[in-house]
Amino acid sequence: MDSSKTKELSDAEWNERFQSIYQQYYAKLCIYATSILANDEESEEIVQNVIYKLWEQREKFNEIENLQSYLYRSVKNLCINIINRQKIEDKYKSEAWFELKNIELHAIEPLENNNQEQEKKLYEAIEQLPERCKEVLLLSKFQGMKNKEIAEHLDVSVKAIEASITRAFTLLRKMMNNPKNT
Amino acid sequence: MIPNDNIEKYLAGQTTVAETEELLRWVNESEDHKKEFTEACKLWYALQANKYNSDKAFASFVASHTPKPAKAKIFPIWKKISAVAAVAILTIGCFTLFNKQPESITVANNNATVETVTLPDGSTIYLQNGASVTYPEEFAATSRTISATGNIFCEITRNEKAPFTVTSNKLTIKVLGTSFQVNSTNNAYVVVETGKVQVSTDTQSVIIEKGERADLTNNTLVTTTNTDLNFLSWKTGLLQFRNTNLSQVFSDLARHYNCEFAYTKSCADVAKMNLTGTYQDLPLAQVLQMIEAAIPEFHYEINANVVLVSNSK
Repeated sequence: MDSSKTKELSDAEWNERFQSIYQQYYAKLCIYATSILANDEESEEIVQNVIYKLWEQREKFNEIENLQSYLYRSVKNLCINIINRQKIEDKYKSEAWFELKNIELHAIEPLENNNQEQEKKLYEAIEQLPERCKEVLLLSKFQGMKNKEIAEHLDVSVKAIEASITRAFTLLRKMMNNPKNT
Repeated sequence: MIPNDNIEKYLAGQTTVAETEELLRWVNESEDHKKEFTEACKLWYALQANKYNSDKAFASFVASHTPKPAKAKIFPIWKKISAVAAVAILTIGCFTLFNKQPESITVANNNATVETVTLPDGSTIYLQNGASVTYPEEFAATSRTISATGNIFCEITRNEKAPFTVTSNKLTIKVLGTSFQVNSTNNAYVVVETGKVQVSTDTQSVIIEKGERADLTNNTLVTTTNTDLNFLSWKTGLLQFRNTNLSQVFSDLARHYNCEFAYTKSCADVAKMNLTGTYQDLPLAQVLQMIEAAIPEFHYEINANVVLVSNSK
């Protein structure tokens, strides 16, 4: 896009542009941050900060070559800053962990072209899960409840919830990879 | 051994260093393993996507970067120029010759609290959230005219030599000295607290007195006795109910607290019950608690800004 044109954008037009950034990237960036930090609230704050920083420098908007990787990189850097500062858990210090995160980053970027076919397949697979697994998975991933809340809601231990989610995920993975075998 | 289960544990952030290293080794063993790992990541992300509300996040983003224009006084542009530098004096001098009318001031209220504006003649205007008023820095000797949007309440200083006029997009209200409420939102109306006012549209004019109201319905002014006990609750913080039907109570509370009430058909009986009570400056939850204590059949649940009414706990 022509940068001289961008300068003339009104606040309303900028708002529109940022709205589409939210629609396209917000949830994905939050997920990415959560996968690094294992903390929902902190992740949302980080993503908001990254987008806010982008807003403050919006005159330079067009100097950013690849918006998507800029956003992911910024989120990742902020997350790693936090980890370095806090040194929360041993796993963060392991080289292996960072290396896996890098592989992950490359994996999620093509997600932008997420097709509906795939989504339909996923929902069908969820339908086939054992009742309890399905219930826990839906509460956790679609209602956004925390494991502790689900545990209280269903009157079972948090460990049991974690186990159900892991099991649901393992099953889903198998179904998505070999749909014919299910 | 394929540490397959470790992928789930890893994504949930539950692996130990040893397990993570083992997983990385396994991922790097072959392209197939790598693919299996990235497919698992993608699935994991696809499952999480509904947890985050991007619309809500965008709304709070907009709120954080938009400067709050509350109390913003908007001066005419030429006053700003005259404040800039002496270089502009000549131009300003010419310009002011043609601009003898007094400067106007606009006050807009974007806060949840009520904003009070004192006019040059000592009259007081109360602005509800979303309202604005424009008035001259000095009133003329024979007339006082202001314009307004949104919901405002006016206490006008009496001056028979200079009638006071409020114009809104649909109504013109002319008074000698009184207090009244002008609402110029979709359903424009005027309610008189004390005194007498004349309400006009382009084609019609009515006079209403204390305790009466004029509503603009289908472009026609209709005058009635005001039965809305709580029309001023936004200013006074006082909510009163006298043997009031609960459905009316809900609509008054919804207006006052800017929330919504929802109830199913099975609660229709509850909505027909009557309530008597007075609540001054209380948060919504406390008012609802007091109603629950007064009416045993009434129960509620607050969800964001929606109050869910039920007839059982």
